[in-house]
Amino acid sequence: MPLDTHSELLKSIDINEFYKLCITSTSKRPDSRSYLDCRPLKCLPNILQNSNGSSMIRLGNTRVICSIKCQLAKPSLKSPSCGYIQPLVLLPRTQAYTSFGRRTQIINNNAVLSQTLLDIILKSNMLHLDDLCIEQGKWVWCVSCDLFCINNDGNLLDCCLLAIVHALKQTTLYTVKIDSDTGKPLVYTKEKLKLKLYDEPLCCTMFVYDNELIVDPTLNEEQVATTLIHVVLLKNDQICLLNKTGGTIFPTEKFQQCYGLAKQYIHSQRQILEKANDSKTVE
Amino acid sequence: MDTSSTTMKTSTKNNLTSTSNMEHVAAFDLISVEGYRMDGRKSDELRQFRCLFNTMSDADGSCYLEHGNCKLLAMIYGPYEGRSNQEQAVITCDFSMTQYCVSERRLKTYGDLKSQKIQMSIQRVFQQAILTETYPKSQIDIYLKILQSDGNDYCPCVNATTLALINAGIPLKDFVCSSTVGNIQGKYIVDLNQQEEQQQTPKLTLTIMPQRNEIVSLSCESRVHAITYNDMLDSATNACQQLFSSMKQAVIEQLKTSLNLLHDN
Repeated sequence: MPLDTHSELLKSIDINEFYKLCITSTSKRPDSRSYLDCRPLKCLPNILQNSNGSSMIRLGNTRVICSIKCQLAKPSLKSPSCGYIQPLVLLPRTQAYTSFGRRTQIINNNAVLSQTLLDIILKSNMLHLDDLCIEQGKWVWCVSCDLFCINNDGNLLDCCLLAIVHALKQTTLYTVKIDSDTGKPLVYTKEKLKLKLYDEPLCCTMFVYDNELIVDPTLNEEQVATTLIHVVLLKNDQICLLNKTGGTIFPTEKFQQCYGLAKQYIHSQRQILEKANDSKTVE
Repeated sequence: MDTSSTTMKTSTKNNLTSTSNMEHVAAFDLISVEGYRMDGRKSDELRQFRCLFNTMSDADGSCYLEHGNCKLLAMIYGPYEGRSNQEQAVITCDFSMTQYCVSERRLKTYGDLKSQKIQMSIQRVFQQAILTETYPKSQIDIYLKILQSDGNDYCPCVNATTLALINAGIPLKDFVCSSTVGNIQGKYIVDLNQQEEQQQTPKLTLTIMPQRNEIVSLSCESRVHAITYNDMLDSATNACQQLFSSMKQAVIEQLKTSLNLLHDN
């Protein structure tokens, strides 16, 4: 870490003070973004060969790889015509070692993120679990989404959700026919079907600092922030998830402002995502 | 090195059935009449080599390596003050795979015997290659993560670690290059991919320091006739030399960009 200038020294000693100084003197963030700017977003589709669909998302320095693998499985007794979907987030152990310190905390973070993603996928109805059924009570698809965070620079939930949506858009399933004599499934790897998506939930993360709403926090900002707000919106701007972590209290009018901000932010993200998708289909 | 046994075990446990069927290719199909291999390479041609430096911001040195279809990340942390009181630096290696790096989803990504073996051999290789005396009482950590595997994981891991160590600025005796060679239909083919790796033909893995012409490690886990052995060694050395030139090129390119000297040349 370079400690040549005063501001860098201050950053390593007292991050709160550093942030306060930066905001009050320039009314801009340390990386010279204004409050409502998000970092540059880049989406790369189909980067892994061995998976059914994959993507890589770069949001500033945060990088997430998502890989979707489909396997045949037996359905549960409770819902014999429903497939499974299991998101699993992994922060590398190296990140656990340096930037967070505690290993248990990282494992906790992984679990929380995975569960939040699963909730969003199920609540938003982005894919119907009935579509994953091959034969009722016998065979269904088990779609496992493995997310690997290469570099954590804040705003992981946004990135993970973007990566999942982007990868699911590419996902193709194999055609499976059940052999009538033996009852065993026959997999035709050459015939592929696109997975049908009904919606696209995208997330916007904001934080409150000095009664200001600021979008797209970096890792340092997440440490400074007193409270984080997640807003997940669907395609028709319906709210799918609203979450304010504990911390400071703030007035209701501010909360109404959140929705407008999230709408703008998600709209721009959706455009980039669609552009990335279109360029792939043209090729 | 095959992974089928571990994945079979996990798949029965979870009642999951794999959908991928690896197409089995007979050995006589691997090289065409014209002398080209399955992926269009000649017998002494390496796979495409591409690398990026500084991929992880919090690591001291890092490298992303694409070698054909094999994609991996290598990160170096250190040297930092370690617990040991030795007169030379201690090197640890942590090798792990992702669940999706092979064609069947695997549940266990680290700690199995295969990765422990790679871990140990990389540790031993770099204990030799790094000038450990320059860092007494300190520790250097190597982290390797396979994103997509294509047959042999050991060779790309060694190459990526070398590049990451160079990126971290840790003094090495020399580059460390590793490559494989196989003998199929009387021809020596270098840099095997997964299909070629699966054949029951002689294979040899060689790790050398190309500028000193020293062998760091060599392993040949199959039956080879003594006459063919020397030829195999020769072609493996050639492959390592080829690899060395492309690695050197990559390092120089990186140096140029970081010194903003690109437009001068």
